[in-house]
Amino acid sequence: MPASSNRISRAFAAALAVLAAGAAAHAASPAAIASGKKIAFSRKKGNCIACHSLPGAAMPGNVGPRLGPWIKSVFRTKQDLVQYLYDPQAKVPHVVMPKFGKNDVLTETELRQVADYLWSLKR
Amino acid sequence: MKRTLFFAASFFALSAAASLIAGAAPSTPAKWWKLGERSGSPAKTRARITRYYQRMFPRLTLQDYALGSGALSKDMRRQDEELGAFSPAGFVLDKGAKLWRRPFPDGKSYASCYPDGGKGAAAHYPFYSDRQQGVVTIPVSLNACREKHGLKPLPYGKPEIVALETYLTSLSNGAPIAVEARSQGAVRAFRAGQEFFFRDEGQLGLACASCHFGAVGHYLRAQLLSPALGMTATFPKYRMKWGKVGTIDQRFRGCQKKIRAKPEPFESVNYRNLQFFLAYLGDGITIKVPGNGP
Repeated sequence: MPASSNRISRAFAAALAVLAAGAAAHAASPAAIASGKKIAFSRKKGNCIACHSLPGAAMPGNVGPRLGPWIKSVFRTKQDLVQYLYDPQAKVPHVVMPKFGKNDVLTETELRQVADYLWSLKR
Repeated sequence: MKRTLFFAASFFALSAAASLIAGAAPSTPAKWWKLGERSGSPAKTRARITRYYQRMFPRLTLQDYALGSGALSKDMRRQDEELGAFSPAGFVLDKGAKLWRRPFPDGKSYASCYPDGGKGAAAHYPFYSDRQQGVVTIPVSLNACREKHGLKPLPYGKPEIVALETYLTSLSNGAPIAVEARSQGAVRAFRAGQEFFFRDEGQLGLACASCHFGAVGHYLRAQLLSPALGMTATFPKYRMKWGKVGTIDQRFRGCQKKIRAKPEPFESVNYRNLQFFLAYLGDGITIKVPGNGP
């Protein structure tokens, strides 16, 4: 294949990527996902891995389920997930999980970042 | 939504259970919070709670619960035993024995405050005292003994009184816990302890029961959540995490900090009621002190 055509196809792919990003205007930024992961792994913040297994977690707990892509089919929208993290017992009475929002464990922004991270899980 | 989540939750509870060690993996029966109901006699509550664990861990005998989380995992049990071999708890026991024998200014000693010189006494602690309108734990009784004989009380949670408690409790090693809750006041104290055990506390909004019923047998990071049954049988205990021997109140304080609640002072009313509640649940389980654990 000539070099010029290669360049064209690369430009085309880049344009497509921009379009896709535009279509998913509310998709999470890599920075938000990274912040969410940091919160999920931090003892002082979300400490999700105290109870849940997550990719890359050393010695995670197993009080709750391993977190993965299934989250998207259970919660349908990311906002539903944020709501759940805010006050889990409002959805599942007596579930053993802190009210991360209602009890001010995490801020609204932090909750959204954690949701962005969880939404991004591929396995 | 609610339903999907519930099914998802039970599915994962079951699959997590299947992957757990030693086949003792629990799938938590639904409605553990109902054990917080305060109807009927304390004996009935104890029977309900014992049945709950029996259903979850059918292979365990009552005595097995003295092993704490070691009852649920061979690895944990081996770890506790290995710790025991190198545990400095023996020094604390010796120190306690020395303090125990040291005569008071009036010539008497601690032994004079307990029936049979303290032998077997700890099996009946804590108890509810109608006269004092509250639960009397071993540290409280040690200080009462001191004051009766003209000495100042010792500060709770500090090495001296912990050593004394360790020694006095060890005089009941091999005896089954025999705590009673018959009087009206005793039943009230038991219920207060139960209420505290099931009360959501701290910023994380968790109760003792959330972990020790709701998630018993599961791991919190590397920590295996133990059953409430028999919890008091091995305290005072040497914990590697502490690097020393500590009382069950010290453990309560650690749990409260973990759920980001304000820890209570040693031998507070709540802690004494909690000790009473837990000891009563463990009736019949053999005392073995000082315990050893991670």
